Amino acid sequence: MGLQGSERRLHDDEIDRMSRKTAIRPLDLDVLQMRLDAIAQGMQETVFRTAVSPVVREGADASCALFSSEGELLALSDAIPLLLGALPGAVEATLRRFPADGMAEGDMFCMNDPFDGGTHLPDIVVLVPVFSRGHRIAFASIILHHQDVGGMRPGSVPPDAKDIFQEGLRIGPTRLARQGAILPEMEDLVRRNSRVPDIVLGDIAAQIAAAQDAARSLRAIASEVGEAQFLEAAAACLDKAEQQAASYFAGLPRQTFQGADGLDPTPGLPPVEVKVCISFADGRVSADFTGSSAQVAAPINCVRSGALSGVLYAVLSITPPGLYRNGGILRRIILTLPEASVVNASPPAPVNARTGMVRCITSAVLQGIAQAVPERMPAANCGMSYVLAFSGIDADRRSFIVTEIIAGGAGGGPLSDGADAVSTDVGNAMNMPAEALEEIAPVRLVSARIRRGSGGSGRFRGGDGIERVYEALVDGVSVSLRGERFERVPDGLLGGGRPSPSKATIHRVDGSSVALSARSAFTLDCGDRLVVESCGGAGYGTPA
Amino acid sequence: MNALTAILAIDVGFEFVDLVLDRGGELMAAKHRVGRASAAVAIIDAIELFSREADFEIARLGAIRLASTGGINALLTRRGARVALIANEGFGDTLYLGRQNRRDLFDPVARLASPSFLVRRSDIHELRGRLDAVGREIEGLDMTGLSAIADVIASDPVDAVAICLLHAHIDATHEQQCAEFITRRFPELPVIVSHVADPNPREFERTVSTCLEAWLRPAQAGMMRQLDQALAERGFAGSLQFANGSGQLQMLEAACANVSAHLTSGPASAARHAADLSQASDAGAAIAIDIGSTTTDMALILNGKPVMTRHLQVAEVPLRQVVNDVQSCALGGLARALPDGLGGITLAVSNDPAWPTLSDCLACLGLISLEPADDAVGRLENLARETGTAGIENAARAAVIAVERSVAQAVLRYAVQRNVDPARTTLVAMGGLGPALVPGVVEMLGGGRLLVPALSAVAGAMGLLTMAPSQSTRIRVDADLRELGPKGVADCVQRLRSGLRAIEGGAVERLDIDLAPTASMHPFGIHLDIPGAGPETITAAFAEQYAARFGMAPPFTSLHVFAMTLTHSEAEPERNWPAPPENISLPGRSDGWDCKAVSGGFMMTRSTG
Repeated sequence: MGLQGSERRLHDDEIDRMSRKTAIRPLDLDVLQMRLDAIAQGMQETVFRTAVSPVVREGADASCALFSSEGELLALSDAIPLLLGALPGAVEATLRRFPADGMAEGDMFCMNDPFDGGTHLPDIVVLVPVFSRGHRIAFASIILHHQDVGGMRPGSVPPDAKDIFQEGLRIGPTRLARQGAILPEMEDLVRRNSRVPDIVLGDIAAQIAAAQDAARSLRAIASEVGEAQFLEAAAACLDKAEQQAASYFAGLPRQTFQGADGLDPTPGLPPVEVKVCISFADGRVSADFTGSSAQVAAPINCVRSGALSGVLYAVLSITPPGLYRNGGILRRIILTLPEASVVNASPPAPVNARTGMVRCITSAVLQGIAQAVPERMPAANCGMSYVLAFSGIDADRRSFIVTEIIAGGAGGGPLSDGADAVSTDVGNAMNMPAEALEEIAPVRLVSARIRRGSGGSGRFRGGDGIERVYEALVDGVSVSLRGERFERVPDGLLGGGRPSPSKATIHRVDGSSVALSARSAFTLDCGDRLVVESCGGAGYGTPA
Repeated sequence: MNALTAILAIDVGFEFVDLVLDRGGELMAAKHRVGRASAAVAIIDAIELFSREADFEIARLGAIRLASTGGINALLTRRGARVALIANEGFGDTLYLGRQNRRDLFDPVARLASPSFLVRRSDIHELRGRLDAVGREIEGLDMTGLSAIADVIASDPVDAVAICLLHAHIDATHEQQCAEFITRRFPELPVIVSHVADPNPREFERTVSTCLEAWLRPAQAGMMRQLDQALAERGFAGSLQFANGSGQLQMLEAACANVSAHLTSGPASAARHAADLSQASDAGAAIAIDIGSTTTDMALILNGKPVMTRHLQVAEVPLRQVVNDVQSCALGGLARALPDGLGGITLAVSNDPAWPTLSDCLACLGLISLEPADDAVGRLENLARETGTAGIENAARAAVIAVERSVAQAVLRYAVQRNVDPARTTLVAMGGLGPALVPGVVEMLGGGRLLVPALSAVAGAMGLLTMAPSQSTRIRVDADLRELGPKGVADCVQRLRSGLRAIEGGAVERLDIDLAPTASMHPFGIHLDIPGAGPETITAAFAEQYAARFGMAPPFTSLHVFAMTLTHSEAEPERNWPAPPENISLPGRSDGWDCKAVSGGFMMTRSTG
């Protein structure tokens, strides 16, 4: 099941599974997988259209998936790949606590514990079992970045957290609803812990609506073909994906490829490095992170789901388009993650700024994989995204919290210049429009520009990053800034140049300036300006 | 022919001009090749040819109605006007930044999901001056800077100017100042302002709408005016009407002022015909699939009407308008069948004459009435050889199955994203290739019902016959519904009514309202057939339509009204499509299906598993 299955060796039962005959015709399987993918995508549309918080509505920070009746990933929405690995572990943990056979129609569950399958605390997972004529046929699950789940700073992403307890409310797998109604004690829990409970509850309602949408569509398929046939076909889809993945990995060089990357140095912390060995053998891909740094007392660690997201994204970026994107692929991925490390943190490590680490992991894995398929891979992208949160009290004494995500440049090559100002690899968040930001918060977006010249030089130049300038319109606007690549930028490929590093500066209204570090928390007063510049992509090939 | 009562409906595609003449219920149809002439000339040529074939005088037609995929084809081939864009200082990159998300999630080479091709970087001009989020002026418009921009445009001319300034949807003063200045300097130049093109928040989306209108307008409005003039020269004194993407007919000036609203008029017209026939045959929920030369268009039909949307992607351009919810994919008769590199066949847009077109494959199998092209056999032999397929028929069949699979996949995604199970809907096979391909799509989807219009090959033109001329006007409201109260709502409707001219014989009124629980959420459009309703009716309609779309109650009880649109339409003509005669041959495939003649076409049900 899920990730556990991916860690097993190829046993006889797996050989049987991959070669077993099914009554389902191959064409029917294609159609079913398409329908499942479309249902997952439909869930996501519902979430984005009904979400209350700007980080979801504008930034698209959510992901949806379907799981088999046994809890194996069946279909994923096209969401932020950062969340690709998030749901399998969360579902597995929930099913450990609440065995599927004990679930009833109308039950719903939630969790956000990073150390039990989650990502970081703002990401709450909702899991809904789907029944058809009394038979459990699947699960629908949605992970969504909530605006605030308590903790030491508004927005629940404190860049100065030293442990998980400062980051907010930690929820293990928990019952959220019975007979379709949210339990009053769960609503009470949210109201007592969040600074913006109505927004959080509104977004949970959007998650539930998406799951119910999916349940209707899944029931329609099951009643059309029969529940038993549906379960058999779903299992066959998983088997087929495993077979496809095994076949593809078997064709890659049987070598070990190494990749490495690291985060910007942080005063008071040891260097934070990620090392990975990628190998392809026995129709599997193995990613061994032995040698990566031990976890640190800063929120830059990530948990297992982050490493899985990075590896799964890299795998999906090289596999053929016809491959079924489901848990069958996970069966062919072996992750080796050192305990209590920056790539697999243990309690009580803080993890809220995990994005930088997941980007770092992805960058290292892509380096390794690029050696196996060099003709398809560009130079390194910016390897970072900013997560920027503004909060405070506006002129009408109303509180506000708004989070936005800022991308950088894509790597150049292999056949063209890298794209400017675009979300890359595990990122795909959308930016915050000036008109949306200014409607929500007393902050003006003074300008939003491509940061020209920030991409690395090369035969195919790296894409440029982004420059955004903000001005506070009231005193006391709290800002949490989490970025990366302020000092350590990626090398170019095949003679290409390195990009310009990220940079963030405060220009106070009194004329003074403050250069910020990659992870900063500070306050802006009326008229103060914040300039945020993201890193470009690396260049490809020696410049002409 | 009855004087001035006959209607000529024309649907212009990439390869063919489809024409249907309605003489008091008697229908005649024809398809003529577009050729290499300009669109207006091709249309006039086709009308003249048809007038001889069908024996009618152009001067005695009561109305000519036009739908076209010309705009979509311009987007697909990236052939549009050169546009200058004026944006706020600091926001000249908005079009090139997009929303920073990429097009294909798992392609290691990231491509931005923005139609930046609409304006060259060097044609974007930044201008000082700024409003805040409630429309207050923070900095006055820099008229000196504007003059300098005009000088640049004068020295390096463009075809149209787009103006998109921040918060112009709240207060249009700066955009109006800017437009007046540019129009004074360049009276002949089309100037498109964002508060008219797309008066909604989020600057990237509004910029795209504005630039798209500017990019399309010179050619599309030019075609409309040329056509009007050429018809006048031929004595036509009836009404020239243009279908828009929401299935309404507009007069020349209204159509020329908003050509992007007409971008999807072709698919919308076909959807209208599918809706008419679905309703007449009690087909229930249906999906129209119109397969033509270059695209496959899908449209959902519920309760006998095409479903509307306010967000559409057309040729990778996000369109933000209230239009029929049609979706197109670049797959049609001109697509070529190629080896996919994995031993199978894929269909792609290609100019390589070594590979057969989809039309070649269908003609080879006898699934369409066209004869195979002279060199089709050689191309099919090449495909068979390169894919290791035994014989050209098997190669053609494999290509057709590949297309059916692609269409099935597209229909699946389209349907499920709209909470519809495609296996439980009736598919309507339209366009020149629909009857040949859609039966296979139904089988792949596990469905069982297929409606084939008797005149499926000219479905778009048929749809035009049941549309009614309409006019609409829109106002920004930007107020809380409770604060607006019954009087405020009534005042808004009155303002809207005063902006529309009277329709002889009375008008059918429809009120569309954009609203959301809070001002910062995405607007959700609802419609009321009987305007004049108060806040309670609007709240109830919102709750009902929101729940129908999302399966949940709105998150808050408050409602922010963004805008209202009032549409006046003439009463739609009652049509009773006769069932085709029993001896007429069914276009396309019929093996494995039970076929019954119904109003305007054939209802087919699968007779085998």
